[in-house]
Amino acid sequence: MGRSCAIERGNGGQHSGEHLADPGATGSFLSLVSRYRDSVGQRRFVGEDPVVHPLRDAPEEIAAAAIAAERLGGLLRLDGKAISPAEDLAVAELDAGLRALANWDVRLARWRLAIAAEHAHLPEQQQRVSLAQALAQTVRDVLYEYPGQSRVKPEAPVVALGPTLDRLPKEELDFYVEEAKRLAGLWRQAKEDVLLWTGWALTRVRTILRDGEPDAALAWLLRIYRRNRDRLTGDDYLERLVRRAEATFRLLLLAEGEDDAELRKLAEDASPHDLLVTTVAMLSQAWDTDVVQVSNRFALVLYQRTELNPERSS
Amino acid sequence: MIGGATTWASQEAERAWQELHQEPGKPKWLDVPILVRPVGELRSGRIVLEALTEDRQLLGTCAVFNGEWYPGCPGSTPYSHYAPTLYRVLLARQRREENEPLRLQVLKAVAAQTRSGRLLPVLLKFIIAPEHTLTGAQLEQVYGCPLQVFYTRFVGVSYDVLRPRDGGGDVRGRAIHEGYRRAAAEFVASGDLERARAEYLEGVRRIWIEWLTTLCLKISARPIMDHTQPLQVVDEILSYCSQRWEGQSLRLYLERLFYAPSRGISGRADRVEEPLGGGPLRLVEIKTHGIDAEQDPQTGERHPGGLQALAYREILHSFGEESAEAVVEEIQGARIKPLPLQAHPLVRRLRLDLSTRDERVVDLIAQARNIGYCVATGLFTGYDRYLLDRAGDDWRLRELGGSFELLRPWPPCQICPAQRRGVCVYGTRRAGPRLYSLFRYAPSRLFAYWAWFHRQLKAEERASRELLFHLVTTPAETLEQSEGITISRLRLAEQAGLVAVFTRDERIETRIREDDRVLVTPERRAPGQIFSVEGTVQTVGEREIALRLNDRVDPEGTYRVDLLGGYDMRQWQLEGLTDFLVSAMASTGIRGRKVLVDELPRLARILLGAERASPPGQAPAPPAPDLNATQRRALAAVLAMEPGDLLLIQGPPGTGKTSLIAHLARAALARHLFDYDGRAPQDRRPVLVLTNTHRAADEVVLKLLDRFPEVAPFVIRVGGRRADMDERVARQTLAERAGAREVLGEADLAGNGAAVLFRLIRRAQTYHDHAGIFVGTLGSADAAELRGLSFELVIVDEAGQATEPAMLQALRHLPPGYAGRLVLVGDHRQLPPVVSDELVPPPVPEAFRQLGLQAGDSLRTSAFERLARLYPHALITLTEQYRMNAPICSLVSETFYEGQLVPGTQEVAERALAGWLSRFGLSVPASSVWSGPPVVLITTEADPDARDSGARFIAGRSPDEARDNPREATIVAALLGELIGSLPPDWRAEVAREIGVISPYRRQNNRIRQELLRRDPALAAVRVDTVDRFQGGEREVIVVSLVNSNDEAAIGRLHADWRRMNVAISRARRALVIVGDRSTFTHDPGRPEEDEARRYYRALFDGIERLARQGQARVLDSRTLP
Repeated sequence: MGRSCAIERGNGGQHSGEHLADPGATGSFLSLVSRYRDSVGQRRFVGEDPVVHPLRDAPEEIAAAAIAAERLGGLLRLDGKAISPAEDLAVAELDAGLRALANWDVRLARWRLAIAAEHAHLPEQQQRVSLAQALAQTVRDVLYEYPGQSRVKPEAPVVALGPTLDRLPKEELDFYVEEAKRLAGLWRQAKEDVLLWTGWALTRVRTILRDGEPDAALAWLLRIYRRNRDRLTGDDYLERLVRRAEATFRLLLLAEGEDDAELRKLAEDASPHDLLVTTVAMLSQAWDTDVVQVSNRFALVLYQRTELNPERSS
Repeated sequence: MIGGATTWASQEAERAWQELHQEPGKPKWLDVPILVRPVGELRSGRIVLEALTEDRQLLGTCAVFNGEWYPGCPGSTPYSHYAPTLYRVLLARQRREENEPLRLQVLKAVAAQTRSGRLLPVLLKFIIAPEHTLTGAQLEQVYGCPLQVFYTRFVGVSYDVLRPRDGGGDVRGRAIHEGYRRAAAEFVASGDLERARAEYLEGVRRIWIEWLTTLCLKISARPIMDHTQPLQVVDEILSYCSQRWEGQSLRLYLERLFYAPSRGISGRADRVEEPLGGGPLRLVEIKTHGIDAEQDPQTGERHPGGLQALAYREILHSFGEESAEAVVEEIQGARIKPLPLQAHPLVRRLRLDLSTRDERVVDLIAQARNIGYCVATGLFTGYDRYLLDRAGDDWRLRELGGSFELLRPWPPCQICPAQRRGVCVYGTRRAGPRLYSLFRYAPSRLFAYWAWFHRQLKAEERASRELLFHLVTTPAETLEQSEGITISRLRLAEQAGLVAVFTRDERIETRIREDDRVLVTPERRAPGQIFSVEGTVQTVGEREIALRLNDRVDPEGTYRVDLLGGYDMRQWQLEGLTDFLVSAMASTGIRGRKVLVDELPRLARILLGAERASPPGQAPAPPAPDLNATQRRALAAVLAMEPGDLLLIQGPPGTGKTSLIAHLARAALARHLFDYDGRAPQDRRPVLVLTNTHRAADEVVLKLLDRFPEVAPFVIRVGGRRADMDERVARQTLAERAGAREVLGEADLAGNGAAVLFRLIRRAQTYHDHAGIFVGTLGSADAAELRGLSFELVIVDEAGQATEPAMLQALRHLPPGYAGRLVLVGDHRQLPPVVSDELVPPPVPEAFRQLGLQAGDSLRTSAFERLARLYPHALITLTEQYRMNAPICSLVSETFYEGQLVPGTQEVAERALAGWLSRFGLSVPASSVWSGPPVVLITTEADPDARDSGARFIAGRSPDEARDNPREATIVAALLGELIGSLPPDWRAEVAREIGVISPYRRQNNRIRQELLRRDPALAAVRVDTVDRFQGGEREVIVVSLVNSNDEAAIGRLHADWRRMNVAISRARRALVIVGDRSTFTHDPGRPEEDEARRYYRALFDGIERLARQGQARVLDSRTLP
């Protein structure tokens, strides 16, 4: 694209190379866009789903129509053909959503995927977004439901949806169905398997810390410590960090009017980051495996297309 | 608002506006209605409005800011819903191009000082469009989950009827409510506990009989709580009654409707207690289950009904009952737990102060009311596919504001159909894949079809939701004289149980008719102020009206009766329509992308005009000697149908549609029984017949029993026993087949009632398991008898009279993927579906031609008519009729059926009045109109006395053109008086029963009835009715009074639908007399919308002239008659 497009490099000497928006022209152009948007909004409200088309064959009309169509997630008619002008946006939002899922950021993922769903018009892309939305539910359940509850079936949304997605490449679909089953399987195993449980709980700690909730992270780290206590004895530094973390909560249990200066001092020094780093190191040593890697097993693995560019390779 | 109410409201608004300006910067409680319209571009954070009084006088400019902020305000209110909801309402109205100002009941406002020193009135709290009424139960639902209200009340998502769904808890609640209600009334009246106990048990018995089929849905090994609790709690209820009311002098108001026009809320509290010695009213809401309940912050217990009780209390306050108390009585196990509203968790958690006017109470109610209004009316999303899908992203509908954020952690999904159907994003625990982006991914044609009908149903609903406001704000005189929906100055003449007769000295001229729902109110009160009682009209006489009421009324004083409307069929039609959208999409097996119309199930494609219906095939049919050739062809065609096929059978008058349906049902049952290959699932049954009316369903059952008594054990009439039901039909209901009345009637309920009920349920379940032919109405698709069942063949009778959404109910019981056979039986040349006169249909898009719709079509166009246009090759017309003699048949056939219709036998063709009377040894009076040919036209165009009265009741919301024509009434009475008078007195009533008089106007019919009675008391047996009520009936003699006779050639709205005339004249077997002004109907006054009708009328009168030339008709000038 870049080679064939004319791109203005600057305003010459007039603005010393700075691009400044013209307020008047911007205002009138945006009101043109707004007119397209209002018109489409009005027709949509009564049940139509119009394709946006420029009212005149003038550059500003074409540009305004294109922008309105993109923002509304609608189709644009140019040269008699219906174009989905925001399909690239849908792809980008889908990718961002999937990346967020792979990083256990379900809320961000859902937001991105909702945008992707609104902008996607090509059937394959629509189904890819729907699959990602189902995966978001799987990841949510794996992450936030306590492992192994019988009423929860994390893989169910993806497994149920799989056979109905007729436009997705089988390989990609199978990959994600298997991925959902794998995550759900790990999650179920984590109920009994202490190492897996530890990995799962570490995942919780990592997401909690990312969201800026230090006390909650301390609580989860203490749970990890207690579940692995027999493997984590003899390290003074860790014991000290744990005592500080415990102090945070023991303070809450003091009777009214009671004060404990030592406890308060300990709590002030509690650091979830320190405790995490040390716990991970000690656990890795104790289990003889990198527990962060165990935690990483609960991350959604994204499908990678093996053909870099099918058109070019053909 | 009109008249005095408008002036008063306007003065109040002006006064409040002035007061506001007297104390700048000080928020004031106003509680006045104003009208507003947006000024300039609508912006979400700051809305600028022009304020007007009710009579459109300008008050000035005002504004609404987010968070109830105003210039000079130290802070704002987070989560306030007022501005965001108003913004969405105004935006939607703009998009709908509604230019009428919007009504706001302004509760609180402030005259704020702007930085420039100008005073700007800022509206802080208000009720949006208070004329639109929501019930207390709906407010509770909004409070529980606004998204659920969106899906169920606006979109119309309902449960999948193919999946069994238990309703035992509902029956349990009804039984307790009914028993408690009766016991309380009896105890307060008599003070006798034993009589109260008997009344309680009678109430439980009645509910168990009525709802037995619902109890059958749950299979259990022993009696369960649904069966036992109503009996366990009786002692507690009686003891409670005794403790509370022993020796007290009080009056109970039971299930009274009350309504606050300033709040837009109505409700029916279970009980209001009024101490006769003075003291506050006590309002009681009884709750028997608490799925959607509020958690107590201190005990963790959950209690339901808080917002509902709060809303009812607010209604009482709004009409001056400031000291009224409210109590929620929870029935848990065998205990009653009365919970005063001030102790309810909702009140405790929010720390509401009920002893003063706590604005947070109003906020809570206004929030549920305003958001409920915005969402349920469709103003939130309209039919914007993107908004419809996006609405589901957040169950709190955050865009509308509201403090739902703080109230509940999670919506009550377990009672939500949208969750079960996979439509709602919160329904993630369901089996099967979700319907991602349902609205955007639906094929355009399917979505446009859904939206087009949906808009019309919602427009109809809107009118009914505003009716109460209209009644309260319009003078009774106007309602009575201009609109005909009120009867005032009535006195109670008689009250036996719950049946009351009211009379007055003046003649009653009204649109209110039998079976209408009405509200009876003492004239000293406005409708809806707890003293109003709801009821159903039984009869309307010249000076009296008889009603069945929900509660007894005080014998003293005068009353008014207001029309509330008929049975509301919109909600189930909405559900049928939306079920089609959801099921069609769900059964494609495709998810997550835009579905193409070609990917829908075959029957859906046929209905949407995307695939041609197959022409009728021919399969070997069982011998049916009593069917004629076209009927046999139809039978063979139905038996040849494949799953997914559609067949249309047109049955003109008297052609034996019902007989054919009986044959179809029996043949399908036989095939199911004898050709069963063991592959069909157990919940698959052979035949479901759904009709548009109960009467037609009863006729199908009777025809089956008459023709094929051997199938009786397999037939179930869906629904319960009704008063007007034939006894043989009633015996086919499931409750009657199981012997519910006898078994429960004889049982000692207090002793072993639950065990008796349990055995009865098991017996009913056995009958149900073996049934193969189910007959019900279209409205009964969700009836307990049908839940969980699918049918190989679904037949819709009277399909020409059913709206398209109503017909879609039939599809709900086809096997998944619509893999069954659908047969529509009807006649689009007879009466169309009944739809509100106010309906202004949306334009028909050009693309709808593919659906067979054309300009002028609306909800009034039946699916049968549309599909007959679209697939004439899939239509079989029954052409042999068994009612009318040859001349009458010829007139009907040539005028309305292109000459296709012929008498089925020679006997039918030769039927004559003289022949019929001679059977009884009687004869027609010589030298009378009855002694000549069987078709008579009495023309009145030259008769100056025969002009109509002009239209009445054309004002108001639902105009009804009421006309009469005294001269025609006299002529009709004279003709029939002559016929009956010539007979021996013993025979007069007998013969009169075989005579029908039809005119389209009730006013004329009343006049004719009175004239007939003056002539001869025996003529009381003549059935005088409107065309609409006569459809399906027949008589030996039919007299038609056309009524319309005027210089403007105004034939009126009713005659403009020519199908009424087809129905009217085709009711006659042996003699037909038409009285009317031919020129009014044939003259061309230049009204194009009447062109089609006038063509038919010209053909009709030409046909009579033709018959007259053949000696088979007579044309008489009315001036030659007395």
